[in-house]
Amino acid sequence: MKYTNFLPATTVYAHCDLPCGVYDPAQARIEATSVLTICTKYNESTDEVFRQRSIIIKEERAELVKKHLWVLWTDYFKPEHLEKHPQLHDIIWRATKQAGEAKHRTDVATAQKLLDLIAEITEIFNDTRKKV
Amino acid sequence: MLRITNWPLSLYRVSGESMFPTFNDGDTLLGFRWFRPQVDQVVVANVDGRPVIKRVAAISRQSITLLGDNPAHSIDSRTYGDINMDKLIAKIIAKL
Repeated sequence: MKYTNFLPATTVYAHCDLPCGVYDPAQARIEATSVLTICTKYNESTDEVFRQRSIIIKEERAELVKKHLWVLWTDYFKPEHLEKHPQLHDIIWRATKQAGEAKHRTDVATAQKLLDLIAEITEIFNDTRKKV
Repeated sequence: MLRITNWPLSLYRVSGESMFPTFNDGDTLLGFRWFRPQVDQVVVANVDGRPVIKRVAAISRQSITLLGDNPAHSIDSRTYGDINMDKLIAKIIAKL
């Protein structure tokens, strides 16, 4: 650990694609939570119009999950993160596949599995944000 | 315009990659707050309430054009335009 890490310093932002801090698996988690909620409401409802709308919105939310995960994968995570977390590629691959699965299924368990995978990605993400 | 503030030296820590390869995410830098801005200086400036680190690309009468050294991954004057001279906080004089 470098001694300079202990010095009190003001953070100065060297913005990346967007203002710093934009990379956060919370975006994927929020969309995946929507998918889960939609599945719950879909299964509780007998209103055919509501159910159709639910499916449409669920498609959009699940697609956004994929998009947010891909942005993290391609723009945020770096080779050193992969070195420390060799399972990273596999988890993101499985999570995006699961988002696809959530698009063509309406059961809560599928959506929950998607959230669980995003939680694993979040754990890795949080580890990479720690200063060493 | 010569900038004078109370205490001349400040420490800064870089967050982000827009100054790569000059500075990396996490680098600790020493800044000097009494300075006259010049082209090619790396400076800390207040942009929309956040301290950002960029390189001075051009200076006109009262405004400064800031660019990142890593233009493919930088939000800078190409996005938010030139900034007023009074938004400059410090120039970077050393990497610790």
